[in-house]
Amino acid sequence: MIPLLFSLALLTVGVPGDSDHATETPQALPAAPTGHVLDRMDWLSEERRLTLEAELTRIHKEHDVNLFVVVWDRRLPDDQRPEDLAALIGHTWSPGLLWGTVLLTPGAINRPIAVTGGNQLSPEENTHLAAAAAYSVEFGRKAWTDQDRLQQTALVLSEELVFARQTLTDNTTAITSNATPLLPPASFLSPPLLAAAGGLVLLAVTLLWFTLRRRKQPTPEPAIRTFPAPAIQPRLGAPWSGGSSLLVSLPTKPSA
Amino acid sequence: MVDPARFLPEGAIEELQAPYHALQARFPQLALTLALLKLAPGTSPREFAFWWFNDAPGGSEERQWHLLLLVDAQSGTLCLTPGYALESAVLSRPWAESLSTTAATVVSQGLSEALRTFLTDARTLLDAHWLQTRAEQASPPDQP
Repeated sequence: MIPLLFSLALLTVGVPGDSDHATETPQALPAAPTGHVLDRMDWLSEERRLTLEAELTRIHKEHDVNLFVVVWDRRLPDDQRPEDLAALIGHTWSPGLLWGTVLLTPGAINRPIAVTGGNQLSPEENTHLAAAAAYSVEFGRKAWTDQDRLQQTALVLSEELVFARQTLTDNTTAITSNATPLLPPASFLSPPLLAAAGGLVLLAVTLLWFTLRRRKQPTPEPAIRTFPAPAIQPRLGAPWSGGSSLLVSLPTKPSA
Repeated sequence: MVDPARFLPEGAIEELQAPYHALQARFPQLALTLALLKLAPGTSPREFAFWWFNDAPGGSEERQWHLLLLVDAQSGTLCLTPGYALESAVLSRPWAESLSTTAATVVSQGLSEALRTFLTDARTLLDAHWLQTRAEQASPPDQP
């Protein structure tokens, strides 16, 4: 199971490598940082590092999601991909359900990569997480500076992981809510009438608790989004598109 | 991705896979086609898009969920055409602004960077439209 999860976690974006195998072992990693940001090159400003640390710590406490931002200081061996190192960091440092790693390596300081993973995720959930990682990197690319790019990538990925975490929580809650009423109230079993009454009370309290809890929680955003089919009235006898378009011209290139 | 004349540099298509798949994973109902062409002189990109949607082989009901971004090297234009089902989402000011940004990026940073920008913008804009649609469904406007 672990090798499968590990390979799924390598559904990543970023710099493609030359090798399929990581050479670094978990023992080669430094100990997990006390927080979530490890800047081995002192590349981030203190203010930015603290801002990131505060946000990632908040997300960890509130949602049990571990997102690590790592600025690596060594050039990787030719046969090691940055994605493998990022996955290794996530697996080694995060015991939690969901994790993500945003990694910068000296060979690609302007191109952070993002890798995600977690325990007991379905292939579909892994695919969604990989898409979220890709999206966060693409979003970060718009940032002006390399430092902004890293920060934006990390913050967007953290939001995506929170969405994913809420979805997982919702599924777990649904399973629990089905199982709870089946638990026998052992202490009330002797007088059958009392047991039945106790079971009913327990069921009512459980249902009330779940109802209140669901009201308090925002509905998690689905990873896959679909639009309702609109009522369509074809124009010009055209079955699939009326040809309405947005059209812009390429601006003239300024002469040197 | 349609690039018969190879306007994109080597490896660019592979680099566009990530943002493209991120968009498709989020909105599997949609199909986005990026067509980089040099149309015959005098051929309007809008006419081409109209033909592509309605007369090109392989048409089916799914085509109303297609979105075609045509980059025409002949006329120097970008033309974004939706199928019927996406008209309400796409024919709007934010998409027009995104297309203008994409056109500017083609000139300043090249075609592949421009397409990457467009793909990322498209996902953001579709997200916004999806949230708006959901909100409207949750609280439909009062009947007159």
